[in-house]
Amino acid sequence: MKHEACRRCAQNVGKVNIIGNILMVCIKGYMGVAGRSKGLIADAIHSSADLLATIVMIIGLKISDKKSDQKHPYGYGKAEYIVSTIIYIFLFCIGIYIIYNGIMTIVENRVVNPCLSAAWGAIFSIAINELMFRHTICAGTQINSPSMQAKAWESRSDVYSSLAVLIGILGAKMGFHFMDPLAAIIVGVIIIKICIEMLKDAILNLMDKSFDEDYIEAIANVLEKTPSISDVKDIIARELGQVLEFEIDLYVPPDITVTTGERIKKEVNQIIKEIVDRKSTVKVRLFAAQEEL
Amino acid sequence: MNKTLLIILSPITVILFVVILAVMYGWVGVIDNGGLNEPAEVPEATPAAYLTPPSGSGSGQIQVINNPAFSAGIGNGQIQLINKPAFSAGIGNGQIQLINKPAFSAGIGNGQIQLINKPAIPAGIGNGQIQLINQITAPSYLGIEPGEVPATVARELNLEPGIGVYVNRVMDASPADRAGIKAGDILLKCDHKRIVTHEQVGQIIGSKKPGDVIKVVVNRNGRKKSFHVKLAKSPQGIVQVAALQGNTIWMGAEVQDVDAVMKLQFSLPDRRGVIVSHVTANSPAAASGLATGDVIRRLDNTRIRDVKQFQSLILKSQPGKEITLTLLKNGVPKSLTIIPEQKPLTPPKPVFLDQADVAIEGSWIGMDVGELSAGGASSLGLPAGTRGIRVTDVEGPPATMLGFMAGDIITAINGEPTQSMKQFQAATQKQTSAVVDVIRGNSHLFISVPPPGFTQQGTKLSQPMDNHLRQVAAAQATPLPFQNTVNLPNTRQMNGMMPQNNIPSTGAPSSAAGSASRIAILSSGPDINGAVTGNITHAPSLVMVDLDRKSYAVIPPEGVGNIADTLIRNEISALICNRISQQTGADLSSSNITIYAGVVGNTSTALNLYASGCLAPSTNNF
Repeated sequence: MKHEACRRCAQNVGKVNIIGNILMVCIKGYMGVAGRSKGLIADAIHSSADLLATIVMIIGLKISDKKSDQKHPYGYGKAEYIVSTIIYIFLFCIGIYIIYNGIMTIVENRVVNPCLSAAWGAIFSIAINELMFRHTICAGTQINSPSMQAKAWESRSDVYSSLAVLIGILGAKMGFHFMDPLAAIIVGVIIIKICIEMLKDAILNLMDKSFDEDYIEAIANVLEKTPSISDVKDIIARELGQVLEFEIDLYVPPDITVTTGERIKKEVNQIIKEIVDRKSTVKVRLFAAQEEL
Repeated sequence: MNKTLLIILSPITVILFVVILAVMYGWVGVIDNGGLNEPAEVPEATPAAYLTPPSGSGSGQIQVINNPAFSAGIGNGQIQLINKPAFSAGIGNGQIQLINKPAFSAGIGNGQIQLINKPAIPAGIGNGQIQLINQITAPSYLGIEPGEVPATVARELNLEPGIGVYVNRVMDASPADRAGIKAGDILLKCDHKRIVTHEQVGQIIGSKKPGDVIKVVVNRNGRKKSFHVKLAKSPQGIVQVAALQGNTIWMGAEVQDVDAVMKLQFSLPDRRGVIVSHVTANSPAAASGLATGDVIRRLDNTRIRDVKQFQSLILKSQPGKEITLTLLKNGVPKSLTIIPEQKPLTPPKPVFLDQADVAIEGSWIGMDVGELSAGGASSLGLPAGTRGIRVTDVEGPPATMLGFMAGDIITAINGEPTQSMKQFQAATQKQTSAVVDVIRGNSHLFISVPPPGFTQQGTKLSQPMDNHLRQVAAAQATPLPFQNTVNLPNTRQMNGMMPQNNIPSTGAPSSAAGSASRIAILSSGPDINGAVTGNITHAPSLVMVDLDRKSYAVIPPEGVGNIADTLIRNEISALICNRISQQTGADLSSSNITIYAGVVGNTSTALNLYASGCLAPSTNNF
């Protein structure tokens, strides 16, 4: 971390992202409709998809705050996946519609004659997305958060889709009327790609997919090196919304006291928190190591 | 609590937004090729009524003014029918003025239609012609001629009655034409508003600027179609009504819609197509073998639905280019090839109509009928030997509704000839619904008489009608007493009848024009009461009188054209006038037409003077 201000900056990334996306949805939607550009409207829908992803994430965080009750002893973590499944199925349909309509527009040789104001909308979108990318990637590197860096690259891909839209609008302005719907089709494909990824993620998580193997391996490595732990028996991890749930089975020397065992559990908690940098619940079971066996 | 609400609302808001965007996405780009690419050019001097904002129906006021010295109309959505104002001016928005013979007329305003007839000071308008002055500056133009949806079409397409506006015609190169709207479409929505009357279309179009794009939803052959029309500026300036008939295509056949009664009587399978009611002799139609009673079902593979559609198709064809008609001739399908010609330019001869020899013989479905005398046919200019029942007067429904006119000759009912009153009686009493063969003027047509209580389309009426011959009063006409003094009753102008007593029956002209049975008078008025006039200061009406048959016909000034030619065409041997131009005089003299110039006074007085031989022909000075 270069400066102390970087932490504040990193904290603002989420807010900036939401506000930027809301702005872009509104401006691109308006400019697209007023400027009669299919591509820009499709791009506005694309931005809405990004915005929805962020909203779903926030919903997930709020839900995870909710304490488990008697009826739901494991909490409400999976509600996030249900919400995101519904939203992305809907967006998937919209994406299909965008592609279908775009193709029909080209096939029927209908003229989409966008206004130059639509081009300004695209330029605006490129500028904002690029700025957002720079902001997020900087903050992500500074606080060393790979998830934030991944988010930054998403903004970058938005820049490319807006660029395609801008080319489409300018092409249509030059007389190649198929280019604007073509840009819309490209954006539609991007939307569908996002939807498929998110749907896959949500459904696999509903099925209690195992958490990222790399993390688990890293955790196992660290735990094995911990002197108080003899061996790692098994690590299971799943995502419950924004919360990670670990079930860790450890071999410990058979002659330790319960108090030592509790200390080991706390230690494991600490280690996991350091590695995954996420809200997590850890269940540790201790087994007696039988060295002779 | 507020936070949870926000959390729930935010994705829903975004989703709604996405839905709106998706809808917008669908809308963008449904604009057709023609809509935006080519600049909409205004067709120059295109004929016919452009869709203009007609009267507002809401606060509309209707004025019918007769003979005002001065009349002016200012307002919004008003209709003025002014007859003979000395001065008339119309200022306003969306108003219709029908001004007849104003001495001076001016129209200032926005979106107004003026039909000014014969203004003395016409303010830059050609003399003596019916003008349609279209002074729209701002309102835009769609280029369709709207009309009511024909009942047959509405029935065929299962439309709700009273919904939609029928497109009678689409102007060439108009925005509607470019967008792909065709004649025969039914306008259902315009600018997202449902259309009930064609005034509404006018209002919607009128409220738009040229260059605006509106969405138009039509029903074409039962399928809904939508178009985006980029409105153009409406053509400015004067559009002559004469140009309305400016089509040059001529087939020589007249057609009528097939209604329920005709379907029944001609045993047709359905009501598709149009029925040929009259075929002009020596016309392309006659040459191809088209005959009265044939039902035209297709024109070049296009299904014919009604007369309007048929006409619009005919108008699109080229003279000399052959068209193929598929028709039912006596129930047998057949196809014909017709090569339409250029329309002959000579106008048809006016029909001389005289008063009936018989006043009333009977009354049928609200009209008085009488037998056509043996000599009557020839005196009416009909082919010799034409026998039939003559309609002397049309008094009330259903005859008035069905379209009968005084002077019609009924030659057959349901194919049974009605040569005498006896046959007519038998025919009318035998059947309740009938297709009547009518000869009107120079042409033949079918008129359907539905059974009592039904309309021609087969819809049931709430009140039944009586179609049977009601009374037979064999009242022979008594010759009216001879009157020497001219005291003309107010004659019906519709059929141009002239009472028998106006011209002394025995008063064959004794002077030079001994053989002249037809003479003409230049008159200032549209009937025989006008003053005798000349053609120097203004264009006169031409009153043509057949002395033998004691009948007259009037040609309005705009139809006169070259006086000498008109007279020759109508076999006129003498002309009574006041002062005529030297050129006309010379023309007439050279074509052996006797000129009685310098006559002052009433036309009928002059006629009586002529008949009694008191006028002396002008011999020279031309």
